[in-house]
Amino acid sequence: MRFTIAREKLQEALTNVAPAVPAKTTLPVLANILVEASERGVRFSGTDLDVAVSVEVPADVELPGALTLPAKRLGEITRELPPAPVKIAALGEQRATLECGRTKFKLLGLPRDEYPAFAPVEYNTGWRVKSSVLHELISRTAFAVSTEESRPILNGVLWEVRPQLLRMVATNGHRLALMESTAEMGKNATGDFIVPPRALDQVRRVFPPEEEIEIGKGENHLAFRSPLASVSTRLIEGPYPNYDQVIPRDNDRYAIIDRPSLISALRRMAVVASDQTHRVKLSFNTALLRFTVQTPDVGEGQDEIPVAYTGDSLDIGFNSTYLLEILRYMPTDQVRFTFKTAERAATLLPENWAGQGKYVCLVMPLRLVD
Amino acid sequence: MDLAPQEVWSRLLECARREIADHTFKTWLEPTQAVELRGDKLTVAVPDQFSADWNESKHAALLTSLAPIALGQPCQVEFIVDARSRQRVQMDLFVAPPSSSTSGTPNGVTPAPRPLLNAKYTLDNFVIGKSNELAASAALAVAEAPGRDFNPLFIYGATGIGKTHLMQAVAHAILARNPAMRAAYLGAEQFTNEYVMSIQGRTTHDFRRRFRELDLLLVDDVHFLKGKEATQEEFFHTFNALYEGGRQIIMTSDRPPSEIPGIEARLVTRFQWGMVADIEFPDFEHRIAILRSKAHQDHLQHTIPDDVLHLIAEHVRSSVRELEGCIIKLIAFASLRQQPVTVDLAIEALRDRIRPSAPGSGHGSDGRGLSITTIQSAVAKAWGVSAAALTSKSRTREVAVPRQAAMLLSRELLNAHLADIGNAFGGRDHSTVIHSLERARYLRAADQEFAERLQLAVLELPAGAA
Repeated sequence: MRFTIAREKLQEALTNVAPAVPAKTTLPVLANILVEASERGVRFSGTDLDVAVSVEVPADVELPGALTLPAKRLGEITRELPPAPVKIAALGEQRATLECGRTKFKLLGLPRDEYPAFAPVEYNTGWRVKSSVLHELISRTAFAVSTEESRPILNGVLWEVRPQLLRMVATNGHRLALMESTAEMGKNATGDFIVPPRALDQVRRVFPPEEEIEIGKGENHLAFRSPLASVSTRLIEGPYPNYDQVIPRDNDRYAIIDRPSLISALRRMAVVASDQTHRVKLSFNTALLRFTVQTPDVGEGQDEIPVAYTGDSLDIGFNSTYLLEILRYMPTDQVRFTFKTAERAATLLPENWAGQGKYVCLVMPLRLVD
Repeated sequence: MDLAPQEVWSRLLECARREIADHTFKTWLEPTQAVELRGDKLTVAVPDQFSADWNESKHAALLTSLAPIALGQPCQVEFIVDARSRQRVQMDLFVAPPSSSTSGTPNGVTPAPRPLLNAKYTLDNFVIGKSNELAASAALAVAEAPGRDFNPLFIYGATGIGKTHLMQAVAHAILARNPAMRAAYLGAEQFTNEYVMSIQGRTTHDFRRRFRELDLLLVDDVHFLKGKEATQEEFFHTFNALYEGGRQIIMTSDRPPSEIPGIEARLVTRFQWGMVADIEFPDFEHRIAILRSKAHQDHLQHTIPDDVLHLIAEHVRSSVRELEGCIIKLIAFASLRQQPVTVDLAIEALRDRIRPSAPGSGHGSDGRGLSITTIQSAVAKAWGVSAAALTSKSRTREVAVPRQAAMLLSRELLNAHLADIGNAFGGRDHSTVIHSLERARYLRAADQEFAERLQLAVLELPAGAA
C-alpha cells in the first residue's frame, strides 16, 4: 500500500472517523483505524463494534493495500503536520511510514486481517432521505434520551419510518421530545428502530445537510451511506414504551411565552436551585408568570416575566435543567406551554412555526412538597 | 425457606441468563431488584410500569419454570414498579403517581382500585374445622355466587380466630375470578373516620358515590358503629343501596347482631337478613391442623416436630392469632439459639404461655387435692399394683391396663394436657398417651370388669372429685 494525500483531506477523514474509535477497549485492534487504499481513493474506518464510521477521500494511490494504524497517534501527528502532501506507505503487514515535507514517522499498526468485519447490510430494500431532514429530526430529539443504565431501552432514539413520514422520539422518562417530518421515501420505508444517539451524532457529523442518504437494514443493524461515507449501527432491541399514551391530549390551560425571556429567567433561578432536583416553582397568573426558588442551605430567588395566560392561577414545579434543554431546541421565539394540573405532564410547542412537520416536548413536573 | 429475596432472585437470574439473549437480559432483567419473598411468591421491582408489563408478559413464565432448577422448589415471580420511583420528587411519564389509579394499562381497561387485602388471607390458607365449618361453607357459597344466597354474610366470634381472614378470603376468591369487581375492605372505625372527613371536607357526595357503587363491601368489626348515629344512618343507606343492587356485603363482629349494644334496630334486622355464622374456638385437632398449615406456609415443616405442635396446641387455646404468634416466637428463639426445635426448647421459649408441666400443679391439679399423683395411687389400689409401676418402663399387661385407666382419668377429671400426662407416667410420648386414652375408652365400653374397676378408682379419689 502506498498513497499520497492532501493534509487537509487526511485531517478531515480522521476527524470524522475518530469519534467512532473507542477510548478504551479490550480488543486492541479497535484502537486503530483501518486504512484501505484502492484506485477510487483511500477509505478510513473506525468502530467500537456498536457503531462503525467509514469515509472515503480522494488520494493519489500508487499501490493498493490495507493495514490498521493507531487512531490516536495518527490523529495527533496529522494535526501537527505542516501544510504539505502526506505520503503514507506500508512496510510489510503491520508497519507504515508517514512522510510530509521533511517530517518522517514510522508507525506500528496491526494487520488488516485482525480488523473486525462490518455487519452485512442490505440497501436494496432500504430507502433514501435528504440529510437535512435527518439532521433536524436528530438535533431536536436526541438530546432527550436517557443516560441512566436502569432503563436501557430509553438509551436509544425511537425512529419510526413510514412511506411518507419520519418520526423520532426520545425520552428519559421525565421529559420527552417528539418530532415528525413528512418526506416521500417509497414503500420500502417502514420499520421502527431504536438507534443509539451516538450513531445519530455520527450521522450528523459525517453527512453534510445537502446530501441524500441511503439507508439499509441488516439483521440487527441500520446503516446510512452516501457515495463517500457510511455510518452503521447496532440497534437497541426490544419494544419502545408506548410514548403516545403519555402525550397529554386534555391539557386545557396554556400560556404563550417569549422563549428568550423564559430562558434567561430560568437560568437566573437555576443558580440558586437545588443541585439535585433543580426545582423551580412556576406560578401562572393572568398575564404574569412568577418564578420562585427556595432551596434550604442555599437561599431563595424570585423573578417574573409577562406572559399571555388567562386561566386560573396554578403553581407547578419543574426541573429547570429539563426546561432549559427543551427550550434550547425550540425552533420559534414564542412557545406554547400547556398543562392541566401540577401532577400531569406539561407540553411545550413551537408557536407559529414555519417548519414542516410537528414538534412537541413533554416534561413531567416536580412535586412541590417533598 | 430461609433465603433472602435478593438471593433467590440472583439465583433465578443466574439460571435465566443462560436462557435469554444477552441484550434482552441486560435491558429487561438486569435493572431489577428483589423486594419481597412471601411464601413461594417473589416480588421484583422494576423502574417503570412499562418494564413491569413487559417482564410479566415475556419473562414471568420462563422464570417460574426455572425456579425448581435454580431453587429446588417452585417460585412465582411478580413484577411491580419500584415503590421508590413512585415517590421521587421528579414525576415520571411511565410511572403512575401513587395516589391515582394506574392509568393506561396495556389493554386499555382500567382495573378497579384494589382493596387493601392481606395477600395471606386466602381460602387455601384457611383451615376448616368443626368450629368454623358453618362460617366457612357460607363463605365458600358467597365466593361462588356473590350477592345471591347469603347476603349479607355476617360472621361473628371472639378476637383472633379468623373472621377477618375468612372475609378477605372471600374477596380474594371473587377478585381472582373477576378482577374488574369494585371491592372495598375497611373497618367500621375507618368507615366512620372517612364519613367524618367527608363531612368536614364537604365531600359527602364523593363518599356516597364511592361506597354505593361498589360490587363488594367488606366491613370489619361493625360493633364499632355502636353509638355513632350519623354514621349508622349513612351505613344504613349504603347497605340498602348495595343490597338492592344485589351487591355482596360481608361484615364481622365480636358478637351476634342482636347482642351488639347501641346499634339501631333497623340495622340489626338488616344484619340478620342473610346469613349469620359464628366462629368458635378451635378444638385441639383443629388447632394442630392450623399449626401444621401455618408451619407449612412458612416452609417450616422440617423444623417443627409433631410433639412440639401438640404441646403448643395443648396449651394455647385462646386464639389462632396466639397460635401463630407461638410458632413465630419459637422459630425466632430456635434460630437465635441455633438449636433445633424440641419440646424442651418450646417450653423454654413459650414459658409465658405454657405453664410448668409438673404433675400435681397447674393443669395437673384442680385445687381439691386431686392430681395425677392421687389418680395414680387410686388406680393402683383398684387394680392392685404399685403406683410406681404405673410410671415405670414396664409394658406388661398387668401394668399397662391400669396405666391406661389412670391416664384416662387424668385426662377426663383434670383435663390435663397430653404432654403433661405423658411426663407424669414415666416420660411417655404424647402419642402414646393418645393411644392409651383410646384404648381405655374402648375398654370402658367393652369390658365390664374394666369399667367397674375404673369406677372403684374414682371412688378412691378425694371426695367430690368425681
